[in-house]
Amino acid sequence: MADGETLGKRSLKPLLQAALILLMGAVLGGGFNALRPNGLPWVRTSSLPTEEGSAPPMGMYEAWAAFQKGTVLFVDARSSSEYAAGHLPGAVNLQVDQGQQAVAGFRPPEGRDLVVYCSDPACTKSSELAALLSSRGIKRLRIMHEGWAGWFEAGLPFEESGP
Amino acid sequence: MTRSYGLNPTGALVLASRIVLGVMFVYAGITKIMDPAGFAQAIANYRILPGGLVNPAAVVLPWVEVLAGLSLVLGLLLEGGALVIAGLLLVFTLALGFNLMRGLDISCGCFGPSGGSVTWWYVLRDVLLFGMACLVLVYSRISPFALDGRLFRNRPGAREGG
Repeated sequence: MADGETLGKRSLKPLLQAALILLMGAVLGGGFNALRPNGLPWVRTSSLPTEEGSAPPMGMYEAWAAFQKGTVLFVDARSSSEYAAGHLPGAVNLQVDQGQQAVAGFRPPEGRDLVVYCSDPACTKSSELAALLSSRGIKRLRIMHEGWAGWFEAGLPFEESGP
Repeated sequence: MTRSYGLNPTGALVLASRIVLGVMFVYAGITKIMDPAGFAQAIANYRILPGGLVNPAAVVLPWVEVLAGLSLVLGLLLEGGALVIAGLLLVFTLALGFNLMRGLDISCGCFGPSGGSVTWWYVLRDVLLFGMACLVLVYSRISPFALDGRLFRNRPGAREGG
């Protein structure tokens, strides 16, 4: 039967093995990432949909108040058909599905925050578009996570068709 | 100290758990390795890790999943592999549960970036898998068809395969 010393070694063994697996994962992952053409930068430069990221969230009502003061421009990341069916007041449509082409000709207005949104709280197009815009050096980005669905259900004003 | 290589009921259950978990983790890891940017976005969508840790996690985590999965399938460094998988499942369960509780509607990212929104079923699944990983960890010594036993059986003091 195991005495104190071997018992200590026994409980240490899984930890050492786990550390070895983690270390090998880090070496392989880091090495593979460095070699592959579409590897990630170690530090994420584009904006994040995190609270700490360069595109922090803006609540729906805060966004509406800011719009009335004229300090924000809404940016719709959805498809053109969704945009035409209804969008936030004055919103411009930058279809993130079209990639760089969507933002190629876009010039952000001076002195206004860009409030990016997509269909609902689950959608990721707003984060993707914010990352795309951020990668082109555009600052003052905010994301409205409630999206079109939240805005519409809250009964806030909206526009149909045409920009 | 006796080791059993026969297929007694516990041994069979441990072996089945090893294969299910191992294959699942290897598959999950490979889908993430194939789309690093998508997986990084999935991690970011959880809004738990600070921005600076998102990409390192997206680079390293899939490989840890593949290695730990292989460890379970092969029975090599079995205790370590089971410990890593149990730890990962615990973290996944907490992350999923935390975001469900605060009402964040996100996609799982569990098997690559595509997939539906997270529900409590995902949490239940991870809890069950966590139980299987604990079973493997506890009974790793009696698990049949493990390379550890074949490679190191004459060196009871050996710590690991190096």
